[in-house]
Formats: sequence, C-alpha cells, structure tokens
Amino acid sequence: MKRRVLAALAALLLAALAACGMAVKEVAVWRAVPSFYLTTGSAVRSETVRVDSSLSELDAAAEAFGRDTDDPELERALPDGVELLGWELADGELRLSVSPEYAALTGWERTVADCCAVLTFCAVDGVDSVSVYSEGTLLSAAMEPADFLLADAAGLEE
Amino acid sequence: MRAPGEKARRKLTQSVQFKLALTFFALIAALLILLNTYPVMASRDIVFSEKESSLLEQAGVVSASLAGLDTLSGDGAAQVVELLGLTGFERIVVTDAAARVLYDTAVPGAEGRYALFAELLRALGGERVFSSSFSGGAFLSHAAIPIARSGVVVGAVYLCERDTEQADIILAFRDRLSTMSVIVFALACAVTYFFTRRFTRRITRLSEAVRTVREGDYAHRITPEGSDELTELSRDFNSMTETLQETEKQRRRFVSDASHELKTPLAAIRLLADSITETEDIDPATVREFVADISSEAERLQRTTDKLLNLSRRDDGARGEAEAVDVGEQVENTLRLLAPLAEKTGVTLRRDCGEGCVISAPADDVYQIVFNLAENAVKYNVPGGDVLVAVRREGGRVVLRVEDTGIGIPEKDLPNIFSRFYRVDKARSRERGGSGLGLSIVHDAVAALGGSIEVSAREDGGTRFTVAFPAREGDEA
Repeated sequence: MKRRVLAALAALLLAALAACGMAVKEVAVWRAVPSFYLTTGSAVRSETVRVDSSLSELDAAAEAFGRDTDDPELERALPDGVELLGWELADGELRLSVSPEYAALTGWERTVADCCAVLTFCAVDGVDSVSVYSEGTLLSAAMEPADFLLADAAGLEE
Repeated sequence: MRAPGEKARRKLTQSVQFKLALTFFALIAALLILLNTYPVMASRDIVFSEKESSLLEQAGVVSASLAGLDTLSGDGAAQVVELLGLTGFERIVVTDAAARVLYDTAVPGAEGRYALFAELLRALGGERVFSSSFSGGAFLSHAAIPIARSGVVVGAVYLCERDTEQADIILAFRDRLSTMSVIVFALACAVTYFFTRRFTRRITRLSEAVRTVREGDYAHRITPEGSDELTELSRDFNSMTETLQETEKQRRRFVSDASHELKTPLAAIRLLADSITETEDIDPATVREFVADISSEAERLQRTTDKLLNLSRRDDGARGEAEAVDVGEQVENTLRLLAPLAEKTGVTLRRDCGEGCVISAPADDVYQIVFNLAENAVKYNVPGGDVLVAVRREGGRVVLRVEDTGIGIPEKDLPNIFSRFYRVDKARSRERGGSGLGLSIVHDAVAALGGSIEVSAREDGGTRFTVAFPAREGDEA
C-alpha cells in the first residue's frame, strides 16, 4: 500500500516538474551593446529571454523587453528609471507608452533604444511598426525594422 | 644478456643519429615557421598602421569640410565627397547626431534610415575610430570620425575601404617564403641526414674498435679523421691501445722470464735429487755435495720469489710507513753486511757519507735501494776492484752515488737495465746469483719515493748509479 502511495507521489512530482518546464516560453529581445564592448559589428544584439508561457505574445515581449539582462556584454535598451507603462496596437502600429524619463534620451542613444524596441516588438505577429509616447506626447514616430541598418556588409564579399 | 663483443641492438628512435636529426629538424622547422610568420605579420602591421593614418586623415578632411557647412545634409555631403575626389572606398556614410543616414555611397535609399554600426556610434560618442582586418585576400578597414561644431557632435563620417593590392603583395611574399621554406627545409633535412650519419658513423667505428680491442686484438688502430673532439678521442684510443699492447707484451715477457727463472733452479734440484735417488752405492761425500747444491738452488729460488713478491706488492701500490731515514746510516749498515762478500771477491769497499742526509721514506725501501746497488757493484766487479758509496746533501735533495771499477755495462744495454729479468750477461749473472730483478726493484722503489735514478759509465771503467731523493721537509741544507 505504501509503495503505491509513494509511486503516485513520484508520478505527481514528475508531472508538476514537467508542467513547470512547459510553463515558459522564449522571446528574442534586442539589447544595446555597452560602449566598452562596442568595437565592430552592430550596436544592438538579440538575446533570448524566458517568460511565463501564459502571457500573450505582446505581453511576453513587453515583459522580456523591460527585464534586466544577465549578459555583461549587453544592457537593457531602456535606461535606468525608464519603464514601459503600456501599449496599444492599432492597424499594425504598436504605440508604446513609456515613463517621461525616456524623453531625456537624445541622439544616437535614443536611436539605439528605439531600434531595440522596434526589432523586439515587430517580431510579434500583427506588429508592423512601433512608435513611442510619453504622457500622450509622441517621442519617436512609427518605425519599422527596415529603418535600421544594423551592420555594414560592404567589402565583406567580392 | 649480451655476449662480449656482440653489437647492441636498439630501436631506431634510440639511436644517436635519430635524436640528433630530430633535434635539427625541430630547430629548422621552428626557424622556418618563425621566418614564415614574422615577416608577414610585420608587413601586415605596417599596412594596418598606414591604413589607420590614411583613412583617419581622409575622414578628418571630410569631417572638417562638413563641419564648415551651414547645415548638415545629404547633398552637402555628396558635394564634399565629390569635391575632395574621394574614390576607391567601398563605402562612405555620413550621419547626423542620431545616426540617421544623410549620405551613403553603398546602399541605395539608405538616406533617412539609421545606421547602427559600432564604429559610427563610437564616433558619435566623440571618438576617432579605426579598425582593420586582413582576411579573404584583402585588407578591410573602417574609420569613423565625429563631425563637431563648437565642440558639439552633430554627426559622423564613416569610411570603409577594401584593399586587395597590398594584400596581394603580402600574399605573394608569403607564398614565396613558403616555397623557399620548403626548399630550404628539404635541403636542411638532407644535410642534417648526411651530417648526422657521418658523425654517428665515426662513433660507430670507435665503438667497433673498442669491441675489437676488448676481444684481444691490441694491434687494432683507428685512422683519425678531421680535427675535432672525435679525432682527439680516436688519437687517445690509439694511444691507449698502444699502451695496452705494450703492457700485454711486457706481461707475456714477464711471465715467460719468470717461468724460466723458476724453472732453471727447479730443474737443477730435480736433477740432483734424481742423481741421489737413482745412483746406487753413492758415497756420502757426493750426497753431501749434491744436497749442498740443492740447498743453493733452493736459496736462489727463494730469492727470486721474494723479489717477485716485492715487485708485485709495489705494482699493487703497497708501501711501508714513511719515517725519517738517514741514508748515511743505511749505507754504513749495508757495507757492513757486504764486507764478507767483498773480502771474498777481493773488492775494496769505501764510503763517503755527509751530514744531514735524512729523507722521509719506508726504511725497508731505502735498504733495498742501497743494498741492491752496492751488492751489484761488488758482485760484478773485478778482483782488486773498488766500490765507492757516497751520500751528500745537495740543496733540497739527498744524492746517493754508487760507483764501481768493475766490468761496466755496454751502452746499448743501459736503457734496459731496469727492466725485469733483463741481464747484461745472463750466464755471468746466474753464476753470481743474480735474478735480474734487483735493479727493477731499485727503480720502482726510487720512483715510489718521488726520486730519480741515473746510470752512466765511469771514465776510468765501471759504472756509476746516481740516485736523488727529496730531502725530508724541515731539514735545512
């Protein structure tokens, strides 16, 4: 009798572990390369992040995009203090709502952050372009992945 | 277990030639690898350095020109590039501060898009950036420089150049080096093989010669070649073999002489004994005479064996305890012992002993020297002859002279008189009880004491022996 109980418990434990293993999914998130590691190639790179599988694709991408990275050669696209507050998808354009600190980003640093957001969210079905708002103000107009040249392939083949 | 003279069998990898050749091959290979890589690397670094200065300079000119324009635009960038006549670049990109492409020579329609090249972004961060790589048969170089107005970065210039000409020169140089290296390596291997073979063949010959001599062929010699250490070794080997041959010759002669010396009295004893036992009715007087002769021969036998034992002990390096010995006293004692013999043969003994003739030596050795020389002087003298034994202190030496007025020694025999069993007149020597060993004992004893001995003919006939001993330390002359 005891043996049967133990076997049942073991089966349950295995099932729970299997369920835990299946409860995550992988999302490709684009990150910025810190200036210390910026030597050649592109200034952005993708990273695989595991998130709860119960989340929708868009929620999963947002969850992964907002997370810090463990890779020392990468950093989060959003600067410290900047949070992704929400989003709205309309006609293929995803409007991201971020905290006001995002507006402090200028020049190429803003471009890098925009690029990471566009490349991350445009991988989700139904998202063609991404624009960034803060408190209702447009910070970055809608952009598509084609708007970015990630690396220079000139001269590599002949 | 290897039998004597058998050549040792060994693996190829254990041979000296293999080890030498392997060492040379490794050295040559290392040298050639270095010669093949270092010049190419050095040439490549020189090209990198030239590219860096050239590209950064040109990017700097473009940047300075664009910085002087009122507004940074694609048209303005195109005019500047055209005006400067920048050709030969794979790509020229000009961006604003947000990395938005204003001008791009490589990608049509790139204007308005954002270029996120690492070099460009670092330039927008205010750095002068250069990177270059040598692969795929070309130098691919990138340079990026900020466009700044009043210290504020408003954009960046990015140049990309692909240079195959210089790469071709370096690759051709590398190919020539490789070809030459293969030839040099092949030649070096051949030379190494022949050199090591020649070298080890000489060692093998020497080794074979050692085996031949070990088997008893002492006449075997090596013909020395060249003038190196192996030649020296070959000469030393020949010299050693000559010594061995001479030693062997002396040993055989000694054994032969010793056998003969022992055989003669033994034969006489046997003959006399047989005569006594086989002769019937032999009278007592004859028996007594034969027994006296047997006793005499036995005495001679004993003297010979005693002297042989004495020489053998000296050969083994055995020496008595050194003590202070007055050679003058030894002379007096010896002459006293020889007085009856001298009187019997009608020889006059004279002595001339100086003061302070003390040496440090085993007393028995000094006695052997003085007695043998003096006894010979009496034995081989003529009736009515003289024997003079003199001792003098001469500086740091004590010199003993023994002179006689006897029959003398022929000059041709002088070099051999210290050899064992050498007799000037064999018949006469035996007749007078000589063994042919006395002077050998004297010679060896003098040598053991660090002295010297000379023999010469006296002007008035007879012989003179001169022995010089080192005087005892601390004794003043």
